[in-house]
Amino acid sequence: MTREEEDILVAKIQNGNSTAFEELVIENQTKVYNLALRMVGNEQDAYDMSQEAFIKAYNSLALFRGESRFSVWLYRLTTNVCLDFLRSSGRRTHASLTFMSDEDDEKELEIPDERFSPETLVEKKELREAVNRGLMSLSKDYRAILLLREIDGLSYEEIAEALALEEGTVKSRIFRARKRLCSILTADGNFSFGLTSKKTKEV
Amino acid sequence: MTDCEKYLELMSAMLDGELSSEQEAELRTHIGKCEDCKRVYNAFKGISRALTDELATPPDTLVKGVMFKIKNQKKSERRFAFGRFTALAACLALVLFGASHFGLLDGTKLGSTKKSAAPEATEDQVLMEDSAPENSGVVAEERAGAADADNAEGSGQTMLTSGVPQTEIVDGTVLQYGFSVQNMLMTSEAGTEDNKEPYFLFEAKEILVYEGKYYPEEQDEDKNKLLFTLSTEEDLNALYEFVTALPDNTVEYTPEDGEILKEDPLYTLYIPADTEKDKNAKDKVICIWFVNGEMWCVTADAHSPNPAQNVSAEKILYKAEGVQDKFEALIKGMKEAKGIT
Repeated sequence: MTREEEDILVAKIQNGNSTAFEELVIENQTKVYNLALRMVGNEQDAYDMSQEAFIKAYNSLALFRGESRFSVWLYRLTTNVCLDFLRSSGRRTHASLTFMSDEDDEKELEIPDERFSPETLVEKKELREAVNRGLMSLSKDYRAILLLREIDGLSYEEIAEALALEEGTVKSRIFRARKRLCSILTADGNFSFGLTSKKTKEV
Repeated sequence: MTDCEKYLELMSAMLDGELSSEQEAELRTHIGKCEDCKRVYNAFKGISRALTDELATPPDTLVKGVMFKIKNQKKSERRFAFGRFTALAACLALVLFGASHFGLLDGTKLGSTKKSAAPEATEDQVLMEDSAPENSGVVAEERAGAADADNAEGSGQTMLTSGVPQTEIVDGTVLQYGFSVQNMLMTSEAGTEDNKEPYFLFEAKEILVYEGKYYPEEQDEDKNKLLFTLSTEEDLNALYEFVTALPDNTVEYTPEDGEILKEDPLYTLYIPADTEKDKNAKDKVICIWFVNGEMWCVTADAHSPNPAQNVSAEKILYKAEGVQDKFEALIKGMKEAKGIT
């Protein structure tokens, strides 16, 4: 859907045509759902969060000014819904306490050794599962920012706008999230990602 | 290795397509030469692929569930989706609930031949233009045939039409978007800053439907012809469905219209105030006329002597074509349901 098509639908809905909203739901449901799924870590909650995000979007469409794309606004809303959920339900993912502090970012980045090669080394499915596990170990803010980039395909500029951050901050946080994930994957004993052997100096 | 430190963050950015072509070229050259960096880059890429390779399919029920919940939300939640925001709705609601009652200045006239704008008018216009972007997708065309010729320019340029005029053709009828009935009937923040009028139609606990005019001072049933009362959720929802399905079209108001409205309305909807909620709330009426198939509505305080009296542009709530049949059908259906002949 182009931005123009989106804008037209939004206008229709704001003028009272609520069924046009269904098109926007259909268009965005995969990205919203996957964002929620990777944020909260289980399907049931992801489902609830997705619905809540869409309903909130509908109810506050009156306040949507159209400065950014509707979908970007929607993903931001989804992120907030998930962050609120994670905060209030007091959820802790299994390793989040370990990985909460920013100082951890400065730890060594373990360089994958020669044996590493995504295609040949591990079944893609195992890798996916490991990455998703690792994702839940990231602090929720880092998780959100990486997901907005990867799942929802937002640019640094769009993320900066959505989260009210500087672009430079977005860039470095995404980098740190990836770095952190690499470390987590290395520590994850359940698969042979091959990132273990060489250690580097301070990165 | 120190060289590589600076490259690491750039590689992350390159993966996201955020580097300039020169930066990218430089970086790719480096990666080609440096094994360590190549491995990190591949690790980042692997993570990215793992995240995006197989996106989960949301359950079928997600979309249906959302639409169902939206439809069945409490009325008070639903209204916010529609009309609360536009300055136009606010200013029209302002005039609706009694210009003098709220000390509204003369500036916010609709369909007025006066061109001078009062301070509020200017501000509201600015607000309206600001909210126009969402509507920019709808093509604005010639309003030929939809309005009187002499309203097309000049005196037709009012608060109402000074926003983005848009037309759409639905079922062969040219509809003009100036404002929507939903905006009118669902606005919740009418009134001036210190004198907000609570929106009423969708929060009514009960709506009495009278045939003809409503005489507030008459206790005698003969004079006020009550057709039926809508008090159940089901009844009220039927009416709300009708209202929310009303087309967003309007025909330009002309001064001659006031003459027609001096006749008795065909129906009057009486909405008692909810004084529990707000002790200053007033009983309201919505008077409905049908003129050449167009439905005209005016809202006023129930106890004003004649709601249609001194009707001017400010007080026209809504004018829409092709609605009479539907409305009559609605009334008929309700009568039948209640066993009234």
